[in-house]
Amino acid sequence: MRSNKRGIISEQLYILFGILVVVVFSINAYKFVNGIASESAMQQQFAVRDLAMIGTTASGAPGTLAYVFFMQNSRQKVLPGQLSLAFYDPKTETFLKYAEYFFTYSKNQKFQKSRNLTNSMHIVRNGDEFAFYNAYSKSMGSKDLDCRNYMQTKTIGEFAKNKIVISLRSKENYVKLIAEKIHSGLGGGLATGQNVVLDLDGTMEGGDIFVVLKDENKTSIVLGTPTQETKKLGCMIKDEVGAAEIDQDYHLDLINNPALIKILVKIPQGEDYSSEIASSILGYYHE
Amino acid sequence: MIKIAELVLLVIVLMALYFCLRHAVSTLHDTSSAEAVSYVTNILYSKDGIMLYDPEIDRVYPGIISNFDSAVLDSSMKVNISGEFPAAKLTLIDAKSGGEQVIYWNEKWYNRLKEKIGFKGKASPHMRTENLVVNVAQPDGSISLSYLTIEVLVPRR
Repeated sequence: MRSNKRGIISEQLYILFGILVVVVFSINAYKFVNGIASESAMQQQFAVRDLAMIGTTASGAPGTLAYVFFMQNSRQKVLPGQLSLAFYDPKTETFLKYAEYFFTYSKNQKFQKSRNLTNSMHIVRNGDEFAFYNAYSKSMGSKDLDCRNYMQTKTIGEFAKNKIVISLRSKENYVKLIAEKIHSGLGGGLATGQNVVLDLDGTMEGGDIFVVLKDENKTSIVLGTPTQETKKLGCMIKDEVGAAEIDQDYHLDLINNPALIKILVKIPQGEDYSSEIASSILGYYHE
Repeated sequence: MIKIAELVLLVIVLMALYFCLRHAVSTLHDTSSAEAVSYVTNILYSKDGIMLYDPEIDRVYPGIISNFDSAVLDSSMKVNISGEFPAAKLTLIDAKSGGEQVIYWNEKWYNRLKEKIGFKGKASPHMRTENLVVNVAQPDGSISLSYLTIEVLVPRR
């Protein structure tokens, strides 16, 4: 009798142990599957492939293209045809091992190697130039901006069929006066200039050409997107107003604006560039 | 003794389940289909590729073929990877005469990968086929109607 009872207890213990093993496995398997969704390494793999495919598409894009790829807390290295990406892991407070993937590019393109990019990326296809830049960097090709080259490119479109927005982002009266003069100089308010819009509140966005006017100590020009068309108009305005600086940068007044060409002109007190800016915009469509 | 063997078997089964789960996750992590689409886009819209390009206005005509040549295609689609390369075969059939021209992107890899099409698992490449109606710019300036088939093979990684 006693040995039978001992056998039943032993049997029950084995069953309990088996159930325990299954429960422990199920909990761990659940954690594993949940972990995959938030796993930095897995996200990194997806991100590098995603970026590589955008790179391939951008590489083959005709004309000009500027694409921003947002990735916070990451590092990137770009070689011709090869991308490396590392995410910052907040758990270990270190960067993960680089994940690598590739993109296609043309042999005839002027490709610029980009090492140690951080955070967001800017993929630019601009004629024969194809490169990955730091989105918030001031070095988006501004140093080698060859205005002679961009001035020769042909403009697509007609003045009358394009929307031109002159936006005031200053409380200074002299800048407001310049904005109004540019508006009237382009035929704004007349039947021929219905496509020219004056934005004195600084609230508008969009259009084909978006020119922001600000007060500043010295004359300079900021290009919102590093496309060929934007560079051409920027160079034309620079040529007319005699600005010392022309930069390609993300500016708060230009970022997220969907306009095709967006340019900021900083104007110091005592200067009036209204006729120069108006003639640059008109000239842009005639060259 | 038998009970211990049962427990060991249970652990083995659970371990096998765990590895199956991991394998399923890594197999699902497959972007070859999206990759194939980006290659087709690159072939069709590339400025330095097989399509007609007008340097005067710096624009590509995506529906008109002017450089149907393997060397041009290879030059416009460079890759820098180790392991298996993606590849493509482009067949152009003249609508009037029925004449056929074939060019390749990475021909060597196309011939290697095509033998593995149709099998299950990661070793078998993903194949995407696109059929398009296109125009071909002739040397005399005239345009003729043709049918273009693009077969892209992408190794699964």
